[in-house]
Amino acid sequence: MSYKILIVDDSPLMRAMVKKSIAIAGIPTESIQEAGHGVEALAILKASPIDLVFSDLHMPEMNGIELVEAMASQGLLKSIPVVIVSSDRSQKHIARLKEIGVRAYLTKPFRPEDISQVFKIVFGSSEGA
Amino acid sequence: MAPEITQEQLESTVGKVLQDAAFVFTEPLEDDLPDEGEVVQATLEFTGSKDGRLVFSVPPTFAIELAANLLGIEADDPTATSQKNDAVGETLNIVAGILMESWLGADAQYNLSPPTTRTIPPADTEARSDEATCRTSLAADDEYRVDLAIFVS
Repeated sequence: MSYKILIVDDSPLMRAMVKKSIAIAGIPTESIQEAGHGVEALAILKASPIDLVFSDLHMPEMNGIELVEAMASQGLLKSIPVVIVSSDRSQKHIARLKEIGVRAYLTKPFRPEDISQVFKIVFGSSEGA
Repeated sequence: MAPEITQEQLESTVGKVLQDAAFVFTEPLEDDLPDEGEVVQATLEFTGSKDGRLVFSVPPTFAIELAANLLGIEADDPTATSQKNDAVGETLNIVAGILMESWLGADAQYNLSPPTTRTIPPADTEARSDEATCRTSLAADDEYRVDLAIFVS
């Protein structure tokens, strides 16, 4: 299986870093799409099949929490897992995000091994077998 | 009540982030390093059990190196130059997350604003202001002056 991934972050540099880490981790991908905030992400999610979303928390227009809540209300969160990528280490925030359905939380700075671990948590394998 | 933040906390946090994320080594600034005429300054506000802002500034040449190292590309790649401000902002974002946890504790509730960046003369950067609650100056790769300041309201 090759994954269809959506990376949501207002920072083009951070989107490039996630993309690069996925490649270094050896995760097979069919497509990687990018969005600068939650509103753009929702439009992509409605238009294309996505297997996994990596999203920042603090973004303009629609932040990461609002995106997860919108995905839940539209029934998208049941079939599309979301991983939050953030520098925010507040345990209360992390617990709240897991309560509303976030599958994994990656703190910055992260390494390709951390990305592999996320795929193992979400799909049970980092190779998509 | 949160303890007072120390210069050592600022120094070790920015040093660790630059080393882990961008493979850059830092030391406390002992002899002043020449300025480039401008600095890239990033500012990020925090609210919660403590309110205030963090200000981080680096020379533009170092900002390009930072972007290149974060992206794993050569410093002469045009992408490194176009992403230099974003690299400084994201570095401050990571510094803020680690600093808040070490200063206020893992259970503290706080919010971090997205970082904003601008290019200004070195004399104008708040990262070197004596009015900061606490600040530190480091030498990165023995060449570049890096400043981090925290202002607690």
